Amino acid sequence: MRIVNPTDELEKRFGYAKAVEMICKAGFEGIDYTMCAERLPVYDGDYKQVVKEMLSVADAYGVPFVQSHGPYGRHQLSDTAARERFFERGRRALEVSAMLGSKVMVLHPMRVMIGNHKDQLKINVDEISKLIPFAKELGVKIAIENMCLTRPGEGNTKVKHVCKSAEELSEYIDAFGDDIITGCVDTGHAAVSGEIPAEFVRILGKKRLGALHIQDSDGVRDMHTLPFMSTVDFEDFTQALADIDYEGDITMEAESFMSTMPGEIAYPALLFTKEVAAYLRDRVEEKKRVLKEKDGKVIRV
Amino acid sequence: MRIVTTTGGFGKNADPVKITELICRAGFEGIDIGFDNLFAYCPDRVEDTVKEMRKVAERYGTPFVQSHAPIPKIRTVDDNENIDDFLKKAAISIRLSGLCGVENVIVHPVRLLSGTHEEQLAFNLFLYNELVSIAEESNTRLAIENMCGFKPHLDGYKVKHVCKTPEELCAYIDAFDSSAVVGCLDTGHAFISGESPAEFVRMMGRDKLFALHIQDCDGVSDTHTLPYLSKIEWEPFIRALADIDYRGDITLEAVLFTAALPEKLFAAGLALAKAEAEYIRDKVLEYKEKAR
Repeated sequence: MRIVNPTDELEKRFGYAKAVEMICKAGFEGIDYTMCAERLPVYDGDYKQVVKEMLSVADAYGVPFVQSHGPYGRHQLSDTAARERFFERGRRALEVSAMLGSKVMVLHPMRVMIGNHKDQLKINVDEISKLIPFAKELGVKIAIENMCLTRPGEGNTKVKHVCKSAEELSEYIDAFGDDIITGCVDTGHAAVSGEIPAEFVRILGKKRLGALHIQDSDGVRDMHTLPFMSTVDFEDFTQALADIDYEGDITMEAESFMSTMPGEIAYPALLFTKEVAAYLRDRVEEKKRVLKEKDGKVIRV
Repeated sequence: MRIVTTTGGFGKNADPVKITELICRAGFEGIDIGFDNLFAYCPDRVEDTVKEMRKVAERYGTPFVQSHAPIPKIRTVDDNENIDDFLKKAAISIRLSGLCGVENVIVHPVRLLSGTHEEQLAFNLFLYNELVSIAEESNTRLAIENMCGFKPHLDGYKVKHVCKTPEELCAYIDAFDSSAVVGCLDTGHAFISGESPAEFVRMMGRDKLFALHIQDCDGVSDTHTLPYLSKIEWEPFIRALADIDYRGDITLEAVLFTAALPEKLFAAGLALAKAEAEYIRDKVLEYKEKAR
């Protein structure tokens, strides 16, 4: 169970090579390469050169790329050009993930402007399925992430969001009927949706939970700050990960914690982030040991 | 200008001796003794515990430079039980601070449930008069802190608080007419009171501003978190300290940041706090140098 940090905020502030170097130097054991933004060198520039440069830095530290974040789908699927663009960017992101060595790429499910639950599910299955042949060929799993309602009026959408509950996310994952599709729990998104992150984990279970986005939130705003800075119960969350014998990575997504800090404090903040991640990983492992010691009888979900 | 943090703010069960060691190991250059926490943690062993803290601090060569007297719970002029309790604990705190070489003992002015500005000031003069003498004898100073009335209606108070503005805090300091009474600016309290921490610094000036409680907040709740985690603008505050040629310490009071952490993360939290304090201090010194 490795501790992992995304390049997201660091790339915005320092560029991709420096971001990778900072994550490695801080002591993280894995890198999550973020490809959410509209404009990134991997979409607009010489992506093979970008990958080469990042790998050269990470290899020097012996730190692998283990996870990535694919492009946002937005909710413009009635727009054929937008659908095409999402597909092209998704395919590029999968290719970049594979070149980097990442085994799982997180994708946000799409929320289209109008449509009932069945319509939304069908559109997501149709669109994401187009990427499955490439994902299989490249050996990169696609992890669908739970979402939350933060800006209900955005884009005049009439639906709050999809995959807000553990049941709905499970239904989405199961609808593909393919092991190449897995799930990602974002703890803050769960809290903002009125769900308990620990219960989310237990309902998804080991079979469906392939990745994490760990962040704290006050249950109202999608804060993306560090655990213990707001109201999510991380003791309960780490217990749930132990209960299901989670074996994936402990991946942080707390970029807002340092987003308003001066550049000089970004690295100390990253070191603190690493300590928080290591603490969470240690708690999961301690709790797993306790469960194993209990008469050798462990009920796994 | 040393970087300093408080021993308070690690939860009521945290051993102050261990916390002192963590602060020293994090690289802080001074320690602020939180007496409220000491009286809560070991009410019958405060003096012995301070001695143990001092031994640890001396081993690391880190001085005690500031302290925080217990917070008074007095609500009325005839609230004798709380008055006696406060005066007893505050006297112990000031004497121990003096013995430890503390330069400024931070005190909260009292807010009575009701009363005019003059009545509130008169009561504070009465209450603190004897403590000022103890401070003078102990070779230390009392630094009156600016307050904020962030939930006055919940506690039945008819006044938001006293010393919310720089003008009022300066009036309180002047009223004592003693070189043993100075001022402490709490950045979060100022912000909640609708004051700009930077303007607060300029209004007080170097003659009255001897100590700081640096904390960030959202202007509504007294969140006592680290700078850059909430809404205060730090650049103007740092420039104001340089402009008045502030020479006191850079003391953090981000007590709710550390209190929220599991014990195993205290050291990591202090490392980040130290980096922030150092950044603020270095910027103040940089701006002072440029001004020269």
